[in-house]
Amino acid sequence: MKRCLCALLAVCLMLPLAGCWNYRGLNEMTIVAGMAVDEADDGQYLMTFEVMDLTQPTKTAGPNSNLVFAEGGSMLEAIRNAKRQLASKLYFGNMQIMVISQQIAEREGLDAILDFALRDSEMRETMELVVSGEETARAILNSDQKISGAVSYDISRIIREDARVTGSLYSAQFYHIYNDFKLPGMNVVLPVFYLASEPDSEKKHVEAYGCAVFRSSLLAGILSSEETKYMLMVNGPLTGGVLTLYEPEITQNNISLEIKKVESFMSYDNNNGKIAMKLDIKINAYFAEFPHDKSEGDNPVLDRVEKSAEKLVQENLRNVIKKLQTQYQSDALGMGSLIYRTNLPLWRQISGQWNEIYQTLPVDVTVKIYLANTAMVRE
Amino acid sequence: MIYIILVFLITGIICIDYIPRRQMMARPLRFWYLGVCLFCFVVLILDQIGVPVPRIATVLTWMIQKICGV
Amino acid sequence: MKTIHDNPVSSREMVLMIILFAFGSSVVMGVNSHTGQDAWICLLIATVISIPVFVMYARIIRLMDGKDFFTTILDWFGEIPGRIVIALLVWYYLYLAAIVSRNFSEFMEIVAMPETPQIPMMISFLLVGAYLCKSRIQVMSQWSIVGLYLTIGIMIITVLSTIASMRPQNLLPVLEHSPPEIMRSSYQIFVFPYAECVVFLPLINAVKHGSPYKIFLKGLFYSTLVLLVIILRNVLTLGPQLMEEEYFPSYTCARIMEIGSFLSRIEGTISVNFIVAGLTKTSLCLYSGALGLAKLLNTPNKLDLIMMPIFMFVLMLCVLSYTDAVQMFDFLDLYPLYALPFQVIVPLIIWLVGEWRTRSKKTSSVQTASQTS
Repeated sequence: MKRCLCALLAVCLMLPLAGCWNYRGLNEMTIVAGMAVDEADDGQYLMTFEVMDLTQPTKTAGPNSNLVFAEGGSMLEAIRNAKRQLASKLYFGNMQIMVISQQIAEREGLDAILDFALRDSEMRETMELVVSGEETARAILNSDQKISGAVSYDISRIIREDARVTGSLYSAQFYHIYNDFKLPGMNVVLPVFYLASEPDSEKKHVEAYGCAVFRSSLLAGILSSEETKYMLMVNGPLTGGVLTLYEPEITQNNISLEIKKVESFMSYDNNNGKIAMKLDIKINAYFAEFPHDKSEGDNPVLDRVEKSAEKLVQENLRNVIKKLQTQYQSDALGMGSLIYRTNLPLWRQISGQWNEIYQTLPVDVTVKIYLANTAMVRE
Repeated sequence: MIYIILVFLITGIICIDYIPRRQMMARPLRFWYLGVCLFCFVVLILDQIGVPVPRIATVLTWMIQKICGV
Repeated sequence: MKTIHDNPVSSREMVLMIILFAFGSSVVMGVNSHTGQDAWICLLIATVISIPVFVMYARIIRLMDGKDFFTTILDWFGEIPGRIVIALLVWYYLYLAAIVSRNFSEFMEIVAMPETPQIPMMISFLLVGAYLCKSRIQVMSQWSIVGLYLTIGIMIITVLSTIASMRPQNLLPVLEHSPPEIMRSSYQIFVFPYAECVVFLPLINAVKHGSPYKIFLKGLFYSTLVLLVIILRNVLTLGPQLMEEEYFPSYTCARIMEIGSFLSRIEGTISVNFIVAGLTKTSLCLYSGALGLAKLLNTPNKLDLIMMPIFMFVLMLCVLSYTDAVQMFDFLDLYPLYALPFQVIVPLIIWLVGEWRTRSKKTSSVQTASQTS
C-alpha cells in the first residue's frame, strides 16, 4: 500500500518537474542571440532578431545564425508578430545584447526599452545594451565575421574582456544601466559598435568604437575610443589598455605604456555654494614599447617618460571633461551622484540647478603615473 | 481540466481519509467534516465556473477603510 | 500537565523553527523595499520594536506554566469569551497559511510557469503542509533543522557569488528617507515577518525544558541576522532603485549571479529556498490553527481527523484571498492594520487577563493556606 502511494507520488512529481503546462521542447523554441531595435518608416518599431540556426549540423559547420525581422507598434507587439513567420516561438533566455539605433536613442530615449526588458521575466538582467554607430541598428547584426557562431555573442565577449585588454568600452548590463538611469546626478553611458571594413576587401566586421553619452534618457553624443579610455580611468574598472606617447627628445619612435592598475579619487570643495571638483588619478603602468638609443647614458629617462605621460593623460582628460560639460552637457562621470551620496543636504539645495552648475564646474585633474617595470628588456 | 483535478481531490479525500476512519469520529464531527469539505468544494467549483465570489482581500480592505477612515 | 504535544521538542529546534518561519515569505516578497538603501536601518528598528512584544508572548507562556495554551485560555476567560478568543486566533492562523501559499503560487506563476493554473500548485503545496502537520511537531522540528541548514547554505552561496558585483556606494546616502517613512517601513517589517511569531504561542510548550524568553529572543536575534544579510546583499548587488522596482529582489539577485564563467543561471536553486521556507511557515500556521480548532471541536488529541477539512478550508481561502498579484502586493500596505489586532491586541488582552488570574489565584491560595494553618 505504501509502495503504491510512493509510486503514485513519484508519477505526480514528474509532471511539474517537466515544466507542467509550460513545457516547451528545444525544437519548439527559436533561440535569440541578440536583438536590434530600429524605427521603421511608418513610425513603428522594426525589430531584428539574430536567431541561432539549428537546422545545420553543428559538428561539421559550427553554429551559425540567421536574421529575423518583425514590425509592431510596441516592442512586445513586434516580438509576437515575429511568430507570424516563424514555426517556433522566440526564446529570449540566452539573449546577450540589445542594439538600439541612434535615431531611437535621440528621439525616444531609453525609458521604453529599459522598462520592457526588466518587466519581461525571460530576458536576463545581465544583457548588454549597445548603441549602433551605423545608420541602423540591424546593420551591426549583419557582420560577415562570426567567431562564436553569432555576432551577438562576439559583441558580448568583446565587451566583457575589454576592461582588461583595450580599455575602450563601457560595459552596460541592464541592471547597472537601470540604476545609473534612476540615480540622481548620473547619466548613462553605453558602448558603441560599428561595422569596420577590412583593407583590400569588401567584407565588414563589427568593431567597438567608443561610447554614447546620454543626457537623462536621450542621446547627447558619441565619444571616440581614446576619449572613452580617459573616462574609464575615472569611473570604470580599467585594468588594461595602452598609453602611446611621442617624446621627440628621448626617441623618434612612439613610446607605449601598458596600464596595469588605475585608482581614481573624486572629491569636491564647497566654498559658499561654489563647488569645485577634484580628480586624482594614480596609474600603475609597465613599459611595453620603448625603442630608443641607449647611448644617452645615465639620464633619468624613466622620470621623463612618467612626466610626459602624466601630462598627456591630464590634458586629454581635461579635454574630455570639457567636451562632456559644454558640448554634451551630460554628467557621465557621476560628479552629481558623488555629492548626492556624500552630502545629501547640499544635493537637495543644488539638484534643481545641477545641469547649469555642471556646465561651468571647475574640475582640477592631477595624474600620477608610476612605472613599475620595463618587461623583459632593460631600460 | 481544473474541474477534474478538484473532483479527484474531493474523491481522494473522502475515500482515503474519511471512509476508513468514520468509526473513530463522533456523529457531530462526521457531519462537520463532510459539511466543510463539501462546502469548500462547492465554492471552488463556483469560482472556477465564473460566479463572482467576493475576494477576502476586497472585503478586508473595505472593512479597514470603513473602520479607520483611510 | 497535559499538553497536546506528544513528543517534546528541544529548545534549539524551536529556535530554528522561528528563524525559518521569519525567513518564510520575506524571502519571496523582499523585506519591504520602499526605503531602498535604508532598508537595513528599518530592519534594525523593527527588531527593537519587536523585543517588548516578544517578551510579552514569552510572559504569556510562562504564566501558563507548561499547560496547553488553548485549555488555559478557556480556563482564564471562561467558556464563551474563551471560545471567541480561540476562534479569532484560529482565523488569523488559517488565513495566514492561505496568504503564504498564495504568495508562493503567484511567485511561481510570475517567475517560472505563467501558463500553469495556480490551483494545482496550491493543492500540492498545501497537501505537503497538511501532511507535515499530521506528522506532528516532532517531525516538523526535525524537518526545520534540515530546511534551515539547506536554506542558509544556499544563501551563503548566493552571497559569495554576488560579492564580485557588489558596489558599496549603493548603501549611500544613508538616511535619505524622512523619519516618518522610516518608522512606517519599520512598523511594516515588524508586522511582517516578526510579529507573525504569534503563531508560535500554542507551540512553545512543546519544549519541556527551556525558557520561552530565551527561545523567542534568540529566534529574533538570529532571524534579524539572516534578514540583514539578505537585505545587504540585495541593496549592494542590485542597487536601491532596482530593488524598489522589483517584486522579487532576491530572485533577481540570483539571476545576476555568476560563479566564474561556467556556473550561472542557477536561480532555480533560490526557488528551493523559497519553497522550503514557505512550506515550513504554512505548516506551522496550519498546525497552530488545527490545534485551536481541535480545542473548539473538543477533539484535542485526534488532530489527524480534522486535518483534511482544514486543508480544504485553507485551499478555499487561498483561492479566494486575492483577485490577482497586483491586489496581493497592494494589500501589503493594509496588512499592518489587519494584523495589529491579532498580533498585538489579542495577546495583550490574554496577557493582562492571565496576570490578573494568576494574581488572584495566588492570593486565594495564600488565603486558604493561612486559613488552614
